[in-house]
Amino acid sequence: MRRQVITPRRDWQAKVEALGLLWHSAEGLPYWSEDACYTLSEAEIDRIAAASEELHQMFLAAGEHVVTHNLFARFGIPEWCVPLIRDAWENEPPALNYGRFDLALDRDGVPRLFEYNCDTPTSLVEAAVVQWHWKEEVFPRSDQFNRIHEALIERWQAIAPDLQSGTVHFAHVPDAAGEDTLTTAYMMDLAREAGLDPVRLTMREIGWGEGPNGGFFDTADRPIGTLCKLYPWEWLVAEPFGRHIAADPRGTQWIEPIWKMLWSNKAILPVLWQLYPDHPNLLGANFDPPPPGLDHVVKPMLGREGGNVKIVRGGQVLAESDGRYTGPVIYQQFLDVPEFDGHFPVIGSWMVDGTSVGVGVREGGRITTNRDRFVPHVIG
Amino acid sequence: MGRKPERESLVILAGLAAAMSGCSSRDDGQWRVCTDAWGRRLPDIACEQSNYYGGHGGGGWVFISHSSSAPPVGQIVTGAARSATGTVFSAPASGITRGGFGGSAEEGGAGHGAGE
Repeated sequence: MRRQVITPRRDWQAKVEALGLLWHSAEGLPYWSEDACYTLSEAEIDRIAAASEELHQMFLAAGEHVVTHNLFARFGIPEWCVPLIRDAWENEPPALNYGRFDLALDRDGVPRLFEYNCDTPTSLVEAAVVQWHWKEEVFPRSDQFNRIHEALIERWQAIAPDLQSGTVHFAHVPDAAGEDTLTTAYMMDLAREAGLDPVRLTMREIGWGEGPNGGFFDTADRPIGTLCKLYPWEWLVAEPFGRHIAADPRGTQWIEPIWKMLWSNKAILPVLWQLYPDHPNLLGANFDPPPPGLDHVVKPMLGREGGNVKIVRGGQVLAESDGRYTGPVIYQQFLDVPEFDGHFPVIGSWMVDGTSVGVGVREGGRITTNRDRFVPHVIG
Repeated sequence: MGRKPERESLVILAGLAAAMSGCSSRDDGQWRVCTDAWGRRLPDIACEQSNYYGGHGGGGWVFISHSSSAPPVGQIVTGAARSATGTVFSAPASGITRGGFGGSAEEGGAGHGAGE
């Protein structure tokens, strides 16, 4: 893996905006960064793809372990959600089953898992679309590991027969940066290309009606048959309408399904480590704090975007992020990630139904947060 | 290993624009609501089972636009037609309430996203 400093396209802002990436800058600094790119070798891509697909299988086993051994309380999952999760896990309602493994290549070039963002993954537009167009213009002879767009369309096509109808609702929060809004718009575009009829609404606009004809409704009071949400399950179930999900007479199909509460919770990391100790693609993880002197990272089980993460090295706090995520934590082995020109890259390895379909690289400090920069890649 | 997408031109702007405007090719549809002879809303079962509640008292199914909200049982249904002109849905027994999702995203300050 190499980091190459390059000259940005003169009108890069307009070009990425034209592709939907309106949040290309934040706080006066570029989030989309094309003054550099990463070059990954074919062998590195092969290792990332193979590791990601193996990790997917391990997550399947870990989910089964949680369900079989009734470990839901360890994950902080409300008791009333357990039957819903069990049912969804066993019956496999339609799911995109997509997500982004956050990996680092260690000093031996081995992919190591930090976490799996598989309930509400973003950085999708930049990974699937914007970096591809950048490559086509800047490095047209080079290749890029990127068939995220195609794979997601194919997945919508595959699950379409199992949806309640051809109409799929997409819900998001109206974020100021536009990232969620436009990521949702992109997801709708994928569904449209798959032959479905997408309808957008905000989370607040979702309606609920009581009684045998009740259920969830859209802004025109139409029943919602299938709802693709960019909104985490742990928030959904904690909110006033959360319990309606268990009492929904129409059985709205949620994409992703509620079993993603298992995989998107960082409590899955100690379970994986218990099932696959010393696996080369994992980092040691535990529910209990490590012995004094052992370098480690503290992560909230339900933390998001690197919030409230603390890195302890040599008994000292090496880095710590702020945030609003209190509650139970897990402890993960510290990985001394190789540094590239003062940056620490994290590889977002995109998965669709168990298949590795592309990567996107973000770089920043020791803790990956939403202030890190997305840097395109090529294969070379 | 082939890495390139099968299609080399990914054009999403048109799709984004359409999505942002919220346009759709859907049939607007109608609510199906059970009423009594005075136009008051009854539970659907009163129209589905003729002997339920002793019948629906000369009322029956009426159809209202999806742009209207079906009132709760016991209230007068306004703007109804006797026949349906599009896709028909059964209305919930009570009015539809909103705002029960989305609050967590606002706890960290309005305008925050929910993706990661």
